[in-house]
Amino acid sequence: MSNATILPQGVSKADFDKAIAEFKAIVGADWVWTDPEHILQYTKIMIPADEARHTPSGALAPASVEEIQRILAVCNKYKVPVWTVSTGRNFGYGSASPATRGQMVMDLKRMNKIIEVDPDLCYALVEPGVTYKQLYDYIQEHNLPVWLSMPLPSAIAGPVGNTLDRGVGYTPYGEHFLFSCGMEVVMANGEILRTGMGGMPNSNTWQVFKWGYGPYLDGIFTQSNYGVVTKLGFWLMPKPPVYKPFGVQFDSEADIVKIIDAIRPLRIANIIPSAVWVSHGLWDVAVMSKRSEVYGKPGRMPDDVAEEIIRKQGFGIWNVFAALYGTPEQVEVNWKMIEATFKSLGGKILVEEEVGNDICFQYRKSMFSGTPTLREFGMYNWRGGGGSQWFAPVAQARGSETLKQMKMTRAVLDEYGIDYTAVFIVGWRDMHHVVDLLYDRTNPVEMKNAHDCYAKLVKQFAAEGYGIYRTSIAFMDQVADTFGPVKKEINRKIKRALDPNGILAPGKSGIFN
Amino acid sequence: MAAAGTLAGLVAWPAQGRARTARWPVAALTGGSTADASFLKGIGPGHDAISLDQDWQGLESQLDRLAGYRLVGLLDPGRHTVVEAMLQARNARLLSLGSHQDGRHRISTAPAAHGVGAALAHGLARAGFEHQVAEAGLGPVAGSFTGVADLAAGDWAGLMGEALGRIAAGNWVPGEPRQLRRAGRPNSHSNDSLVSFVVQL
Repeated sequence: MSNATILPQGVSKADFDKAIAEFKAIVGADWVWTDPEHILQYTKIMIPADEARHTPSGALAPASVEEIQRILAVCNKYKVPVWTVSTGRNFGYGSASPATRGQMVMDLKRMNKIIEVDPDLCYALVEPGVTYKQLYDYIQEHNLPVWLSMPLPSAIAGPVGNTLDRGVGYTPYGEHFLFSCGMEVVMANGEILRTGMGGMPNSNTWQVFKWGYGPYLDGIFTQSNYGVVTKLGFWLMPKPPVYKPFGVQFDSEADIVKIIDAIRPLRIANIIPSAVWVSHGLWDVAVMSKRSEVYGKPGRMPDDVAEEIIRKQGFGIWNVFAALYGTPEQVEVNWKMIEATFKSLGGKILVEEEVGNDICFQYRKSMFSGTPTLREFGMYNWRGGGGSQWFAPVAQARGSETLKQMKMTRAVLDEYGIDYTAVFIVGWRDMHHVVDLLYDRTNPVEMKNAHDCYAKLVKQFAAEGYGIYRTSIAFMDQVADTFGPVKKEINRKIKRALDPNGILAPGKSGIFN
Repeated sequence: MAAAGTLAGLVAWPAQGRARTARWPVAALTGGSTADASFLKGIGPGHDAISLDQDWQGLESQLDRLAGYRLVGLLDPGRHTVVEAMLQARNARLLSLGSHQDGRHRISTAPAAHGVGAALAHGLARAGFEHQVAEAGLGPVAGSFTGVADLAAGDWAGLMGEALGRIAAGNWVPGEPRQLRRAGRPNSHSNDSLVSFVVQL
């Protein structure tokens, strides 16, 4: 008998006990847990939701594809749902906790093989438990001339989980799903699908040609619950001969319009090949300080107070960061255009030769070269209390959009007393307006405020036609609704076809069968 | 189990309980907060002390060395997030996890640590400090405890250190109301936001 106290919805204790016994026979008793000491780690969340609503019934950690196939057979037999995590670092989006209470967490951390890194064709094929740190160390140890792209949690997160949730990094390869190439997926019925060229026996092009033949399927395995991805190929950036990170500070909040309008053509023409980071100065202050050290009052920090603190700490009201990569000649040509553009806008240009020892410059330099840095975690000390929920609406890369979204965001933040710590990340034609709703989880009032604040932001932005690119386990249904009933229904039909018993991560992205 | 709104019925920790031989080797990890001294004093003697700077690689090696230990920690939320990832990768078993800020304490406990919230609330109330303590128990035995007193942050770090030190050493009786002894003025007062934890490595 298991010592489980939480059961999957609709599963009897007797059936759950049988399932647990069969799981133990597959992966070994040491890798199946229903005891609270092991479950507790999977309940730790930063989002404004009650842990009880997302507590798993147990967890298990398979070591191979074959074990996953057998686990899914057991899940189908007893209708036990599994919530798959790779490294489980989805901070501010739900970490490793399931969307609904009682699912078993299937933790793929033991599947951590770097299967291949090809330095000629510049690609990698890895298992889900591989972390960016692990892959970075491998590349360094083998002195391979390639660079990674990684998100802000960098070292402790992993490429499979981040790519499948459509996360981003900051090098020219930062749109991670775009640069993925080939998946291996265990379907709910145990079949193994290799996407793209991977289905062909003896193919050696799985990691070099994305599309294969017929419908392109990889996308349906991202932000979804249609299969368990057990291998992912992705492209690596060749190590550039010259790397030139740079920053530009602007001293007026209204400058954001001209900043974005100047970046757009540079970005679309690939003169700036990486995403462009444009953080509001309060974001940078929050990374480096505690709120209580600079401001002692509740409520959203007034903009004039924030500006004074930002200037005092030496940040711009807006802080642009990007980088150039290539041969000396390429970098020189592009740099002249960029320097001229930002000088004409009145920005203060920061380059490594002048400010290279600055801590902030150094960690952004790491971000834009795919080098692990843990500096950004300092943000979790701003408010303290362990609360973080990312609000990340997408916008056209136009200056006019910034002011509109900022005004909308601040109006809601004012209502709930949450600071505006935000960054615009400019892609090829879009922007992610990323706002970290930082709050104190030890304070029930702040927790409720953060929850209600996020819900209202989603609603109000949707009313203006702005969608969210990614959300947490507590809001997946609400965000899915904003993309319309037809999409939701088609998602459900696909789910029913591929996973008729609904054993794979029910509720992920609002998809149930 | 229903929430307990009263702290009545707490009994003093028996002398033999305090003197009981530790069943687990204990290490303590702190990150340079002003509460460290109280916390470490609360844990008591006989533990390996590790102070965390930004040398994450060094911590990895330390954790490798501590296999078989119970690790008691007090860190800021940023550092804790990283340490937590390292511990999870090692398959550590989490016994207690608490967030502490401005006199508020939110603690999640596995059965082996049930009752920490009650003991902390009692210790703070006895010393007359304002506080709010919420404990969510996970497991079949103790359910949950919530204690809110209308009574400053107090020496919560010393009290938590004592309770978590006992849990780590295996000298805690889960769920049984216990009175912690460190209820005096704090050695060092801290309103920093901090995360406490006990894990078995």
